[in-house]
Amino acid sequence: MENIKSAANKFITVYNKDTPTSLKFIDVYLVYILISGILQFIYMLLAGTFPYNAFLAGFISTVGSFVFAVNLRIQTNAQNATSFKSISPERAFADFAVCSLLLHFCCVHFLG
Amino acid sequence: MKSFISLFVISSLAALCSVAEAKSVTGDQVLVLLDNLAQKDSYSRLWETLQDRDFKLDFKSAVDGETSLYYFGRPLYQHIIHFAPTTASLSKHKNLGNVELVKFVNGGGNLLVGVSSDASNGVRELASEFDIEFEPAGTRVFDASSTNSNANDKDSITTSQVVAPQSIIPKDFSSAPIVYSGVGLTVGSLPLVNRVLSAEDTAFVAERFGKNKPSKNPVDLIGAMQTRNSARATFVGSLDIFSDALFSSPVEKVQKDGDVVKFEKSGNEEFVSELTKWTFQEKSVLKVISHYHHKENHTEQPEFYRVKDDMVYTLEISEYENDHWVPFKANDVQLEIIMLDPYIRTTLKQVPVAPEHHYGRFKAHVQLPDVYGVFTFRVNYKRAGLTYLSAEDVVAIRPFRHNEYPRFLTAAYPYYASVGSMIVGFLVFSAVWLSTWGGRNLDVSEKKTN
Repeated sequence: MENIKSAANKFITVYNKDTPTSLKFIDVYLVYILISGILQFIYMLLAGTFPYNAFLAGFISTVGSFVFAVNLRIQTNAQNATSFKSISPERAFADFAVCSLLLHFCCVHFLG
Repeated sequence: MKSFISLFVISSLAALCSVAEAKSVTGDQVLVLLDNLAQKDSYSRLWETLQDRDFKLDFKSAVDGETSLYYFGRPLYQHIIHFAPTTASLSKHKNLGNVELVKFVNGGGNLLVGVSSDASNGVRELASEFDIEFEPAGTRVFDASSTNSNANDKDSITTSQVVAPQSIIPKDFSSAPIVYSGVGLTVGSLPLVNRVLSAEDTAFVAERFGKNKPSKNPVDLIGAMQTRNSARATFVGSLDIFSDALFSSPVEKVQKDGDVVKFEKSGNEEFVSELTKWTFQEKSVLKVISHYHHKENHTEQPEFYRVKDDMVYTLEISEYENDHWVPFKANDVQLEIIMLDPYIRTTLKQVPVAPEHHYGRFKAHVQLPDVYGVFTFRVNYKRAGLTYLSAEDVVAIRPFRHNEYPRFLTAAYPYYASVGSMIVGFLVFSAVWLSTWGGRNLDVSEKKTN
């Protein structure tokens, strides 16, 4: 118990100190998407999957947005710059934007 | 002036002549069968009242082999009064046997049968065709405490137990009890058949007055059946109830508190009048004038509806009362919407109609079921003593067209909200990210200075 508490405290202080603000933005965005996805899933468990296409559209929009935001975070993290020499931050953001737009278009279409 | 007076006299005479009540709906030709024609005079008051009601009576003896119900295939009579219980050969008569009488009723004719205590088996078998069983031969109904004290022997009883439904005998037809002298019967369990008159609780059935066997159930004296085509057959266990002697006989009634009330005249004449009016289709006769349906706010009757359409069903019913058709009043007429099983069963409400119409109008507002197929709208109104009504409409119900489904489902609102919020979140995030792009230095060097 003590170990978990001290590990969590250490994690939080290091996170606040070492993480650049841009990544914190993405982290906030990720938490928002996560909450939305969890709420939807709980609703589905309570109310059933009745308009199954609507459930899939809503859920996949959260999952997809999460995945793209995580990709953006990975690709713009300065610490990973060596693995992504060919992908500039501008390219990463452009990928993120285009993929998100495509995802939202498909989700709205699938909602019915 | 003279012409005025003569016109007045003629019209008043004409008015007097039309005082006669209730002509029958089915027709006015009556065949009266008697054991022997000499008995005709003991019922003279009955024949007079029937003739006042515009019936044409044809008196025939039961042994007359030439009597026929049909003439070259066309029916001669619409009603039969069978006052010949002792003629054994009648049940095997070639035109008036039991089989032919049952066919007559099945063809819409009405039957009034009187039975006495020495009735033959033929009449008993006729009664059992109509689910009415008479008590064994030789027995009569006796009643120690309600005997008709004006009679010489103990054979006649008095009773006030009219157990018929209101449609056959109304509750307050007369205050005097009815004098009865004859056999008892048991009414079967078919829903088509009704008890009309029952003896008092103290009555019993026996061969002679002395042998008292207490009967557990009340003894029934008159039974009536209305067959599926609404023809009516009444079986009366006493011929004397129709006789002039008992019509005008004074009668006493013992009240519950022991008082004895004397009546100048028994209630027989009014009772027989109501009973014959019912049997010969002069009252409690219903007719469906029209039935139609349409969508709410439309007027034309479509051939098919759509699932979950709002529909209005209207039905108009007339009742025959006192010689003319009047609006029928009821609060229990039901409409069923059926495809093999009823999907909807609802009670129609009576709505007001302009007074010049002679029918009552019943309406229901219904939302059609959520199932498509071929449905029947059916009003099936069967009540004791009233004509059986059945009005049917067959209609198709089609499913939704692809553009008639609801656009947005309430169950899916959370998912709509989530997709919307993802789009909004993406836009907000991109705006913030792009607006802070300039101040952000994503080189490794910035990281090392922290």
